Amino acid sequence: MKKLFSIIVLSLLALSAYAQGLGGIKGYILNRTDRSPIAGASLVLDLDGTTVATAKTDSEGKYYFEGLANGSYRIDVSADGFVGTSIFAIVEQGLVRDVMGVSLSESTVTDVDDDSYTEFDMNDSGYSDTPSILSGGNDPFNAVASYGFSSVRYRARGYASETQDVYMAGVRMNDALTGYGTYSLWSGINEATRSKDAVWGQQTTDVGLGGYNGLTNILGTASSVRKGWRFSALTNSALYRLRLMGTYASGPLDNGWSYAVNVSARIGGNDWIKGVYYRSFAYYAGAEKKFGDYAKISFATFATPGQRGAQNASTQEVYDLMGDNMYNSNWGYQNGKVRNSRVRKTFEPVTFVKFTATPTDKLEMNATLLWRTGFNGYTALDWFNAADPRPDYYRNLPSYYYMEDPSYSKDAQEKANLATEMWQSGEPTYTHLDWGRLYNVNYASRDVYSATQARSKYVQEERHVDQNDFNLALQARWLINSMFTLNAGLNARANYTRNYKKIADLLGGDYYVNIDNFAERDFSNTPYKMQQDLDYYVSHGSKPQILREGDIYGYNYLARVNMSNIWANGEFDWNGLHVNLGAELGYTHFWREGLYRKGLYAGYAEGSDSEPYMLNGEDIAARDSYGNIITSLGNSELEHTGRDGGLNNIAKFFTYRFKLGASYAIKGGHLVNANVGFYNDAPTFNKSFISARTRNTLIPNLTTAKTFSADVNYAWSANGYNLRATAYYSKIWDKTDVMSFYDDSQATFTNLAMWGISERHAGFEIGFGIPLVVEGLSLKGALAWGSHIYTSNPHMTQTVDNSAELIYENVEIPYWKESPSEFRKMADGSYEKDINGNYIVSKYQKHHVAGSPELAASLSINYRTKSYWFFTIEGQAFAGNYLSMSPVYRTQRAVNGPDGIVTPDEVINMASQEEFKPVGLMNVSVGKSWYLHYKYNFGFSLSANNILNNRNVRTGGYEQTRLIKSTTAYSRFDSKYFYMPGVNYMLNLYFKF
Amino acid sequence: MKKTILIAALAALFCACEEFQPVFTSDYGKPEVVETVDMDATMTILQLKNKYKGVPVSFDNDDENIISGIVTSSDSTGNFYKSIYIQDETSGIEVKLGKYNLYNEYKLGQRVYVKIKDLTLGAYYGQIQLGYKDQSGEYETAYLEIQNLIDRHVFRGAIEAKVKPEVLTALPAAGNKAYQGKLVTLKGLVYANEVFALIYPDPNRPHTKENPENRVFLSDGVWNIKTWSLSEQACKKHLMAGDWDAAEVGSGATRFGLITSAVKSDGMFSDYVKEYKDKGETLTYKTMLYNNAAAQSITQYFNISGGSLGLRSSGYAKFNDVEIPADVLSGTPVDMTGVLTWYESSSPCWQLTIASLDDVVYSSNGKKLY
Repeated sequence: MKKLFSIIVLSLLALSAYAQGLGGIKGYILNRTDRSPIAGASLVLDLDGTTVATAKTDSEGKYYFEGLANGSYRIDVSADGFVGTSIFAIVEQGLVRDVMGVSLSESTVTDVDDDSYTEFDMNDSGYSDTPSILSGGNDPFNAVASYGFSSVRYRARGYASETQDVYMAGVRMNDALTGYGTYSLWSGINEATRSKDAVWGQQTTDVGLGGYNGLTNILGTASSVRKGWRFSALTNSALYRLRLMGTYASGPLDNGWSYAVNVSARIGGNDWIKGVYYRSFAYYAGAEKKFGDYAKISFATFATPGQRGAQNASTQEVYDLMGDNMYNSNWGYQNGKVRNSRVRKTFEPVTFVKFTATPTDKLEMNATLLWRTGFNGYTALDWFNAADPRPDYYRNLPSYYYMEDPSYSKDAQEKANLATEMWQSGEPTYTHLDWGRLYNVNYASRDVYSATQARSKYVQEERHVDQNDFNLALQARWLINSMFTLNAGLNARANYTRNYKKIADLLGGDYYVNIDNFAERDFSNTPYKMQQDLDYYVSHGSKPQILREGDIYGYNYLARVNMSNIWANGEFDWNGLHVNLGAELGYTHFWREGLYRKGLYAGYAEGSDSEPYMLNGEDIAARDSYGNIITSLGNSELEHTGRDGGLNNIAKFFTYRFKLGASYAIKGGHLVNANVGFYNDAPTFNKSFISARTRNTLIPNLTTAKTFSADVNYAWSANGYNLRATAYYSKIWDKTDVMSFYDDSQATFTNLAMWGISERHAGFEIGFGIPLVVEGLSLKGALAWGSHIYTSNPHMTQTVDNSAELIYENVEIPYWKESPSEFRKMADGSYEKDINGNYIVSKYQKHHVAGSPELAASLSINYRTKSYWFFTIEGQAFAGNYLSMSPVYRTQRAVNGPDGIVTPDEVINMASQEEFKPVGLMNVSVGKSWYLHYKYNFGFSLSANNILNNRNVRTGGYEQTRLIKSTTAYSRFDSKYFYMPGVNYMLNLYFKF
Repeated sequence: MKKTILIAALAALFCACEEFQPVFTSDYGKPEVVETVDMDATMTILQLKNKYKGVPVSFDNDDENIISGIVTSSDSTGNFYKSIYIQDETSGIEVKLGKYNLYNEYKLGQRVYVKIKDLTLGAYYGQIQLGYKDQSGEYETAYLEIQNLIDRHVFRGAIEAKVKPEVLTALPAAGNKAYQGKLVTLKGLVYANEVFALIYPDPNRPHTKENPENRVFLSDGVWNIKTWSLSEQACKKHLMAGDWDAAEVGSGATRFGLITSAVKSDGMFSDYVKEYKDKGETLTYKTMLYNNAAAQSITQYFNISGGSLGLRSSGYAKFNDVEIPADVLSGTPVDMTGVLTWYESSSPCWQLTIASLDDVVYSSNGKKLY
């Protein structure tokens, strides 16, 4: 065998590889269904209960263990998406034993992709819809967690989703602006993206050094797609009604070519959340040519054009009024048809060319060029001088009229009853969007711009983030000798993203006007200040732009991001000891380039980078508190060459990562492993600007986020038993965040930037698989328990969106990392004070990183028959899930209240963090496949989740930012929540040949 | 067995198809224009207003009376606020709908019918209004606010001709109910060099008559206010410029000194005083006014035969900071068209609310001011 591909040797016997008279084992692994090779299957070689080597199959499904002493070996074979098996082989007289082909049958239901996550509408707060763990692989913990924990939006170790690296054909695909995994780029082409290499935690891979939260590389090449035809029809009740998918892959042909095509359609609504629907299509086409054994070139292109309706979070009050935790306020009836106001519309084709060279069997080199382009639009309602159209707007709710606490002066009990009556009337014009009303307002609207045409008061806007992302990835792996392997690479990325919004629908009107609603309110007598596009206004005789459907308006800027890095990872193997040491050095560089000169931030004069913009002889450039001109326009790199680095708002960061890991294999199938790493990562574009919509200003004190992470792992695998246990500890500091919101204490729209956020993540993970007495019966379990807390009080700067006027500058957020939850009381029940007159805190509540349960557990019984039936019943428990915090409620001003006096009740009400109730769930699944003549295979799998029909499971949500005022205190607006659907099913029928 | 399973599985798929919720994503079609209603009024607006005898009147649930009128107000500039005025041949009345941007759905000249059952007739400083009962008892009426309450009482009819304002060259008799809430054109108004405003050192704390320390009156002069009303920024500018330094905190006999003086350490703001003291600073009322500045309503007085008229404009009106032309300030007469309201205070007067500055013209030639 000439070529050994992707092999990780832990062999105790490696040193003696050169010795004479040693034998080996070779063979290949096939898919039972279509006899196609399975690439990337894991093999664990045991001799007398001791793991002596591990390997992975190559692209042709082949493997080869060499240098084996005589003996009776056992090979445990496992592959993602297949049922594992064992092979027994005896090596005698130093001969290489060829065990030929061993086939695996495909495992079952877990057809997970990012579809399983409803698109949520979190007011564009940057919430990402990210699978828990991309690939289960063969790890007993991840195999359960990847699919089983996704329903509660579990994130491994509580880390932010952008820490999870996802690669395609060797290129890092995490979004250049947000860092989030871009799963939606290939959701729906499950077959073409099924083959992947995945590691978790701080493990390293061939394609990159990775971070501290795993790395998944989707192979994406034509030859990695399973050979043959494959058709499936899937229906489910929690997301979309129907998915139809077809795949053909040629496998490697005699002429060296491979082809693969995968298409799908996902359509329909669901039983649980009205307005949420899919109308999405997907295609993948790939071709690959192999030139002898020395080189191959792959080409592939794919996209998922289509649209899907989003869900919105509401307050518990609204859910209770509707008697339905699945209520979605985004839709309403238009001419009797359900219309969702928030629809994601995308077409983002990705195309890559990958070249692989293997000049010797010790060296492999890869080069990939990848381009992502297209558009990504998200619709929303926009309105101007008109009533808020959202049905669950707070003034439509009973709580706006009546509160028990008399100090809030909300005493209109009768009106609260009327509002309750309105919600319970079942009249959809009250409980949902009233499209008819919006159209009628528009029909009748006339304004100074035209006597005959209608000025729309309500429009549907479409916010666009249209990327052009160019990537180059070079990587080489060199097996220097039996002890040393060196892996190294270079990545370069240039991202050019246009951010703007356009008029998607005038909703019965004839035009809209390109002015800023908030500026219009505050500067109604200064028309130039309201202009979103001042240059248009000035060049058109002081008239604002009249907008028609399809016109760009509101904001318009480019995000420019350049990233590059070089990395190297050395591996050392000796006597069961495996050590890796890696480093990465990088440079990230980004800036905003405004395409509109906004009236509020007119900036510099045309062609100048120092002179203020003049209008009719008047300097109208806005300046910050240090006298620097604030600009909304321009800021290309060229323009600012030579300027003072402090003012040019171009972010530049040197980044680096170091990783050290060691594993030791112990007789009896035991493996211990420990890793440490230090990561100095650039902040992402979306969290670096005070208000990227309006101006170029970077947030103050922007710096890299640092992470120190350490973990120890123990794994044991023998005789079908499988165990992995991990303890982890990570310290993260210098994170930043930004947000824009209406501040009631200021009565204006504001921007808030916070920095110096620190977190500590510590905990453990355990996964196991235990064969039970009856053949085919097994017990599987997974447990994750962690403590993911904030360890600092960040600082913040808050500015008025309209004027950049400072509200707060560099002040601490004193109740961020913890808040007092109990105060000492005296015998009469009143709060005790110390000699200085301060209240005495008797207990603090730590605040947690939100968005994922800290305790997640699963236990399942699996039964698999020889006639290809399988049955699974699973019980799950989740706890320690916290609600995402709003910094506003942790500021001193919010806690003080209007009277400026802090009381214990105010602190507890305002600053505490909500923990969701613990959850117990039950899921079952069943499936069967049939084979005809070893050629045709058809089967089904049916799973039912949440069969106890628990409809009170909060999976996430967020705090609002607004305040209710009493005479002495503020209180929070109710938080908004998302709920898990009740009992739901997924049925998948497939046919393959 | 195998067949049974297969059939069951296919049956399940078909069931799923049957409940397939077709998702509509193409053209939804334009919703129909909402039809207007036609009703018969059973009483005139003046008859309704005459039911008010100094205390609020709540109508029974079985009172089938309906009034009808034409909309005479528009909140498009924000000077009218949360209410519409309707008028028939007898009089006009404020209907307290309690929503913003009412002009989108209640057009000038549009016929509106109001069923009075369950509603409350009350007055605010003598001006009669129709609204909902106020449970707090603080006011005589409350806003309707809730859409189903509005939908049960207020009905939109056809859009007819706009109401022609009654032209007056002198003020009506004090408190005349027929003129309250009526659209009028007042001729020959001459600037009176007097404004009125009430500002609060801390608007978040009580500021009624019982809390004089939280009240500052700007009256008996112009206080350098040359605009129709004041935005927050304009208030701050006046304070910075010292225009209001001569104003006193308090009212009547209870006075707390000029706004430039230090805040009383034993008064209603003692906590603030302490906070500043801890920082080694002295807090003045002026600092409080500046820190809590908000958009400010202003009454600009004009003289006309029969007395003086207060032109009251909201600080949130779009024309808030527009300067009154110098010739108007120096006495050039103007004509104004707006809704006349009666303000019953220690010095009762007629007030006028205009929808926009287009409603003010020079008396001499009828030209707009701007």
